[in-house]
Amino acid sequence: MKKLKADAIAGLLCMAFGLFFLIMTATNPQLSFIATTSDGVPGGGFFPYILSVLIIIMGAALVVRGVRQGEKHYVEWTPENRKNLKVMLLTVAGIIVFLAAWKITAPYFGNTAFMVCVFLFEIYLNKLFERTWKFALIYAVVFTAFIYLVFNMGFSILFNA
Amino acid sequence: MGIGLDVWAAGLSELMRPSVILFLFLGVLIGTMIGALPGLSATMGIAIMTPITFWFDPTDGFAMLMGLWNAAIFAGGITAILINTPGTPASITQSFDGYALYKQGKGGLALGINVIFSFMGGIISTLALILFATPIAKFTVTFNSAEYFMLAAFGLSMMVAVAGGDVLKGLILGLSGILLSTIGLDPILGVKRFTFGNVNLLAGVSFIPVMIGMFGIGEVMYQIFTRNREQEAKDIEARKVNLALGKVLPSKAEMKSLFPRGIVTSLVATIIGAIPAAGGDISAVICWGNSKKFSKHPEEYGKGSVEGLAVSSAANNGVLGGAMTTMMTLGIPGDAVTAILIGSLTMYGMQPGIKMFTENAKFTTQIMALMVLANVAFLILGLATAKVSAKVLNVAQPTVWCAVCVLCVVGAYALNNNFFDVLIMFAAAILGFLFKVLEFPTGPFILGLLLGSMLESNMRRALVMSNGSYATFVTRPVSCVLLIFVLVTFLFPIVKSALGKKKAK
Repeated sequence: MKKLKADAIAGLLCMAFGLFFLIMTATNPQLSFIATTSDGVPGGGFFPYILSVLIIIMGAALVVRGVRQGEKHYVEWTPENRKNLKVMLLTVAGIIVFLAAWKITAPYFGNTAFMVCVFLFEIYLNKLFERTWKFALIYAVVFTAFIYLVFNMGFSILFNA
Repeated sequence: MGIGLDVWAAGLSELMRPSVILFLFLGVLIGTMIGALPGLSATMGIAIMTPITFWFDPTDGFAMLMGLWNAAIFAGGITAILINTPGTPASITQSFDGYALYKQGKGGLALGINVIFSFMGGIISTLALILFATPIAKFTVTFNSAEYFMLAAFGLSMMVAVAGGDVLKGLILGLSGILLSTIGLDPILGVKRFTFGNVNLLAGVSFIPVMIGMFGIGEVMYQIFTRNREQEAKDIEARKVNLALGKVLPSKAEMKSLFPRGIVTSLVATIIGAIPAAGGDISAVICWGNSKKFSKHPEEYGKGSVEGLAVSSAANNGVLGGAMTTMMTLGIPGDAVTAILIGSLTMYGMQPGIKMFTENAKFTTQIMALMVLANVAFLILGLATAKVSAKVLNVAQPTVWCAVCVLCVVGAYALNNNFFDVLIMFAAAILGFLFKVLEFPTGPFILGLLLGSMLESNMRRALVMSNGSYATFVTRPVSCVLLIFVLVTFLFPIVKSALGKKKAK
């Protein structure tokens, strides 16, 4: 069972997020705190400056709190959870491959590329969720036909990416 | 200003089209399935269906969304009653009494009570919407930028305070949402901010793809991650039991005794719904708890009380009209679904607030009437199909996950035929998953992203009008009152915690 000071890590991520926007604001001369057009009126950088600084401060508070409260469980690492994590990561990987395949093939094959990608993606997901080949194939055919009939034929949407 | 009878007549006559009725019933059917399937929420359903409705006529589209929303909340009670698992968070208290009634062989009656009192809650809160929306909208005529800035701040502060969980984490996410809303063109000076040379970001981060990602694929990822096969096996066993359901309709005497409590609960739920961020779950818990306190038979609550189930059913559908009132008159979402509806109205070129009652008055009357019709539709469908509704529960979760993953991609793309929206949706899904795992409340983030632009543009506009004087926020009475509300909302948890520590010593 793995333990981690997860609030401290979350706080650090928040600080990094705030710092990124603070640097982006500070390095852009157009994003001034006060507008150059009229005295005392906030400029384009007013909100980003204040918000990013507040996020950094609150992120730091979260880090301090996380360190003070010690080890906290967000997840109990049981064998089932490890399996779940693997399935979840494979689902995310599947979505990335699906989107990449659609984007790459769409210029050459247009809408057909999307439908083929949907069909293959549905088979992949069903197999990942331990369904039989028969079920996966029927599901993929029915679902792809549904997408084609409703979105292509019904709403005339072309998935050309 | 006000909505005249002629506007109502014109609006209602357009609703008589067969397509509107068809889409309304289709929405109710989809909503019933979504609500009855554990793991699918009304928010997920609305998020996925919203982009699809943009391809319809606006009235048809909203008919579908209203039908889906109202039915999904009512149908959440079906699983709560039959397998002791709330279909939506708002059905939590329905499982307390509904499942006990089912085990006593009164499942049919429990399902009937769920339909009838959900209808009562929905209708009364919609009547409140019809009665009070116009006066509230009239009141906002006097508002200028200072008041709108404070309204947005009040909405955000309520979300942080009410959304539950950790206030510090809620604040961080609320601020992060506002920060992300600054991406795009500056609303006052037109300066490019954080666009990284990408033209897709000039108009800012699209709100609806974010919602689709967070409540669609993000939710699926979380469900896969927290999958409990042992519990799934238990649920399958529970479905196999199939106890006798018995009669569906309550007797006259039962209705007579439950009616007054149903009315009071519906009114209380409407008020709770009008508070930004207080959704059906909060309303159900408050109403069920208070009803138990004032009941003649409090000992029956949680053990199969028909009264308890009626109160829970009226409480969760009763918030919808209240949430719509806040959304349509002030532009502040009452919950996640109304946040998506604001995004949807914006896509149709409408701005929630006073303009809904002047420039788009006819469409506003149609939305109100559709709320009523949606309640009537789910009453008919719910009572007619009460005994077969249990069949919906037989759909396995992986089957739903496979469909949701593709529908989210299709929905995000269909918004603007833009692949970039799909990427935004996917990024939001990852974020939504991380928020859940790291126990960050998502509500403040969504509200921050939605209200950030309203907050910033109105604050800066108010300062331009006052030549940079911040006194404008305290010298205007409504703005000053709202500022006090904001301060009280933020300070209340701190004072409460300090008092708790003092007591503990």
